[in-house]
Amino acid sequence: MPDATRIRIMIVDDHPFLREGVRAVIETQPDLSVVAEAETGEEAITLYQGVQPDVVLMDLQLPGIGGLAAITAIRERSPRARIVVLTTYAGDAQALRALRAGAAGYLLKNSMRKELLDTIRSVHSGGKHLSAQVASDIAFHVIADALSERETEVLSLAAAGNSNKQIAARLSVTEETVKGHMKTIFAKLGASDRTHAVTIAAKRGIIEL
Amino acid sequence: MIEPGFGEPDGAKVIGQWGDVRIEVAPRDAVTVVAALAIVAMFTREADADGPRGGLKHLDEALNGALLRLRSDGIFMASAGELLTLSAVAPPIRANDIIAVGLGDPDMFTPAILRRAVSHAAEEAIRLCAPSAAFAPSLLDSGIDRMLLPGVEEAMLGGLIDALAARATHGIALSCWIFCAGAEHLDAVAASFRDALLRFDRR
Repeated sequence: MPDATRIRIMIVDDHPFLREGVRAVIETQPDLSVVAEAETGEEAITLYQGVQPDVVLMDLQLPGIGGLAAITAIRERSPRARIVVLTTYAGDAQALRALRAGAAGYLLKNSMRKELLDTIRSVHSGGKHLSAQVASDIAFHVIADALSERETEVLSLAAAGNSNKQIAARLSVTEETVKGHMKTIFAKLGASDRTHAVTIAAKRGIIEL
Repeated sequence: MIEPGFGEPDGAKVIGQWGDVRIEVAPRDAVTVVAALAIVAMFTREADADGPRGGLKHLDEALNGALLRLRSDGIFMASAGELLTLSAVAPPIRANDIIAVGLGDPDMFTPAILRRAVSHAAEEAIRLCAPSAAFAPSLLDSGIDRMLLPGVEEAMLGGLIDALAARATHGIALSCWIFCAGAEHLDAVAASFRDALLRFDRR
């Protein structure tokens, strides 16, 4: 198939072995070709402008600014950019953030080869393509930003090992206020204690550890 | 050559054939239909405040509310012709993948919009190399007035034929296309589809 009619793909992942594997799968297809690879979000943003791939396969866990920020930046400059997230699953909240940032596809790295190829073609033709597991998890949980920004901040500080007193000092609020936030956080997440809340939030991608 | 038949497994009725694609109508919805790919049509909102019912509600519940959630979040707005594919779906859904195709605003519905939606969905089914696909229009499930339904069988068939005609020179994997319908009106729906197919065949 002539190069001009192939779907041109950029792979963004900081694991060379993963990029090599995805490239090998793509290059078995006569209508697909890999035209660029990037290891960081910053590199992806720069390369996108120069190469203008048809579809980007983007991991979210990247050094530097991260995949989510890279998606946002690419879409700001190129609103018609078609980006598929290809990632290990870090929770419904993370998936929802990526989709709200403009990702047109969201696949897990343990997806089948056919699923990856189908997703590339669907997204290239203008559709959206999600793993059903991800879609169901998004819907199953209470809305991803069930925790307010402040609550997310409090829990992130708790996850970093700060006591309520230290959190209060960091956020310039009273310790009573922090305790109040914690109580709300436990209720929203269905957590029994601080550790449980951190675990649930990390699993769903609400906070990062 | 059109070869209508009756009494297919699963209660399906064969409408006929277009090229190498057998066309059926079955008393199933997108959850229960046996096909590699199940396609459901959705509007940007339901026509009444109660939300979806019937097969559309059944599918959304089988997906843990994913369809309505993704629509309310604006991830999939169901604008006319918009496509959302959910891959590797789990039981009780019998298909491997689900496609939701948008029909836009229910107040603006016309059979022509449905025709284009079916055409888009069928093109995607062909692109995905699905050997079989089922289409559930979900019009009544979305609260569309029955008075607006005349002509929808011809519109759906036209959409499928448009997509097949566009790929006429290429080999395709698709060999069976199923239109989902309610069991209570199956005979009448099948008759409408057969009449419509005869009219297309004469053109």
